[in-house]
Amino acid sequence: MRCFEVKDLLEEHIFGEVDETRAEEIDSHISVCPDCSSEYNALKDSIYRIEVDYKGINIPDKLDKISIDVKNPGTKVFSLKKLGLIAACFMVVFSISAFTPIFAAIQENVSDIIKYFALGDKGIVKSIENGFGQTIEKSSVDSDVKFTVHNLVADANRTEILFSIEYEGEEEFDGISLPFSGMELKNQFGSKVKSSSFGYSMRGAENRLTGRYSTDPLGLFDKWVTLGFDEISLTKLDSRKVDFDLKQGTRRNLNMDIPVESSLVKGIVLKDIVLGEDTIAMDYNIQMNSEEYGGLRPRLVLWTEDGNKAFMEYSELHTNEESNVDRARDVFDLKGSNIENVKMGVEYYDIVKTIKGDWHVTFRPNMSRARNQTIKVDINKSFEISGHEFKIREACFTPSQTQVYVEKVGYHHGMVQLMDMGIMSNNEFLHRNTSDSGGMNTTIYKFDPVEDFSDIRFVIRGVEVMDDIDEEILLDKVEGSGEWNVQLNGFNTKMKYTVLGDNGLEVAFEHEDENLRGINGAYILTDDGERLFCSDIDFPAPYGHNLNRNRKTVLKFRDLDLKGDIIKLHVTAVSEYKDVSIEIPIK
Amino acid sequence: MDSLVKKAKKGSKKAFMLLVDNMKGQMYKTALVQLGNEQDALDAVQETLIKAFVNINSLRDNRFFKTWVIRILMNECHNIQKYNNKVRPMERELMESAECDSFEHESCIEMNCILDRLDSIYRDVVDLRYNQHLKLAEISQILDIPVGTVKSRLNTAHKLLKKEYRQKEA
Repeated sequence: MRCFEVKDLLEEHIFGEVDETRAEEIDSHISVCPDCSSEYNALKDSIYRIEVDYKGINIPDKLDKISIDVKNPGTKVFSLKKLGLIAACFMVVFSISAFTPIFAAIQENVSDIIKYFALGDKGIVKSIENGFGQTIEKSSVDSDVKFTVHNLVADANRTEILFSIEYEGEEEFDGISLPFSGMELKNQFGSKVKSSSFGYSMRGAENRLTGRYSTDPLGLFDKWVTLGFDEISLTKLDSRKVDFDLKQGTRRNLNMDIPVESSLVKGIVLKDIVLGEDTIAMDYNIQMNSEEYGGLRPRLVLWTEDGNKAFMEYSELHTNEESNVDRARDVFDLKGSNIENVKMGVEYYDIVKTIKGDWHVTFRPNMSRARNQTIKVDINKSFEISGHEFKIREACFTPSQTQVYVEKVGYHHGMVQLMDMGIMSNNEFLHRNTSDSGGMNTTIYKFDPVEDFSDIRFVIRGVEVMDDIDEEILLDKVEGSGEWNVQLNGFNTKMKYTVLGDNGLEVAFEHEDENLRGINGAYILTDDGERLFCSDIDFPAPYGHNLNRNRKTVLKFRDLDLKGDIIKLHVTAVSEYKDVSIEIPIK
Repeated sequence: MDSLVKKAKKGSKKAFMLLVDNMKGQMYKTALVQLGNEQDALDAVQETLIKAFVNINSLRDNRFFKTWVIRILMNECHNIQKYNNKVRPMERELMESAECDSFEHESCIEMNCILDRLDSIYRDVVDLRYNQHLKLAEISQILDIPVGTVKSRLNTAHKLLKKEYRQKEA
């Protein structure tokens, strides 16, 4: 048998699906052919690993309880179209929950809200499960819209109000949306509840929206609070294909208009498409007609070979208050899809109807239980990274969250960022929720609540440090473009320059070492001794993330005098990822 | 197996449940790999079993019961996925706070494995072959693709996984 014939049958052979005669031939071939033999072993390894992974999947007990008994076979319970999957899932959850203590303890209406929000933030679920949530279940109805506040989680670290909005009218639409600062929380004096950080996030479709309103902890004088809003919009999500040939590769300055049919969007302009090894980055400008519904901005989408949406790895949005034009950059992972079969489209929202009214619910926050479980710890321990001092000031432990206040002592110039850090509780890392600014130079890191207080430590494993350097690179006979290898602060980089127009220069540094994050500054030293700093730096995206890909920083210089023979380029700062090992016990 | 299917066709829930009892675990794993979270996976299995029982008389050849059920399961998973894609993601832009952290992609929370990193066309064949232990012809039937394509996708999947495993170990 020939090698290619053997290789073609290897997989089936491992499964015993090849007839006896050929199986013997394959075996004897493998015993004498090193190439096929190594492929055979590699395949066996791969299959073994896959099977191990599958064996490792934990089968939940709930699976045993699954039955085909449908209580009311005639209802819309299993009609996915009308009621929406949320309702169907909720019903299914409820019928299984008869045997599950956890879900049964949580209000029916609340379980579907936390199902969606809890994944990144288990503190809310834990709070409610342990009895620190407060059931409100009060509604306000106006013009076919019903606003219900279901539950309140309030403690010394934060306030979370779980709500839902339902529309019972006749229109055809897919979703409900609130304008930007649409929701307000006021106290009994009619004043807005004081907070440096607040917002709401919603999840839903069709006629029901569930959400949570988050804010800083309530104040001592917030005895009664009212959550309300006065406008909602019914929205419709639409999409259309964009006729664009991706095969042609990276293109910049396209300035291609993308038409959409939406009253919300004034225009979308496609600027750059950058093809990576397995990714596509799309830079585009968006101009909305109304600032109020910024959350409904259109998005470019990509469809891979199998008809699924490409996974969006990273997305960045720069809002420009002066010009009203937002710049968006979306980076997609194509995961091996053939570029020829990737299609582009745009998704956008349109407003079907705007409804004004008055919806508000007033309730009394009872935080006494949570208050008894609050632990505040003064720490005031300092540590130093690359000559810059940090101090962990304090920590606050509540049933819904753990917060740690970290201060930058002295003026840091943004030189050190804590990257890979967290709280260890009894040798397990707590999941990080988010971080907030706690005033000048102070960052509040927020994590899931602690369950075991026996051994809590703040751990830092990696930081990003900006190093001041001044390394000179001499470029001679600059014309057209050129490329060569350069060392920056000990890192190997590939430098490529391109002359732009009459007096511009683009210099790109490609760095493979994932510890070199980017080049932060550079100037060109003229013959007169003047320093011409670069006008533009394009950092590798996603900046700050630790991806195993080639990273490239692009610097642009303008107004140069390129007539001379030699250009003296000085790189003044680079960002590096550094491993550190800092552990500070908290309790 | 044949007699159980016959009884199920006559309306016996008990017979049906016996038939699927051994399949539930693998079905759950398939759904979990597709959908990434326990609840959706359980929903998918439940929905599939109900649909299968209600429509069992549309199964022409009793010998193909398993592949028939798996086909329903794959469709169910795709429906749920399509619906999940339609639901608007958390509107982070509405959070007026100073620093926002990155939002982790909500996939493969239960599985600590690399299958998640594969594109769905490869993940499907890997799952049907090494989890459901189906023959190439059966996989070809379920996914509506020629056997040659099944083989080549498996091949590519192994290559991709090899790369991922190497990176993971690095």
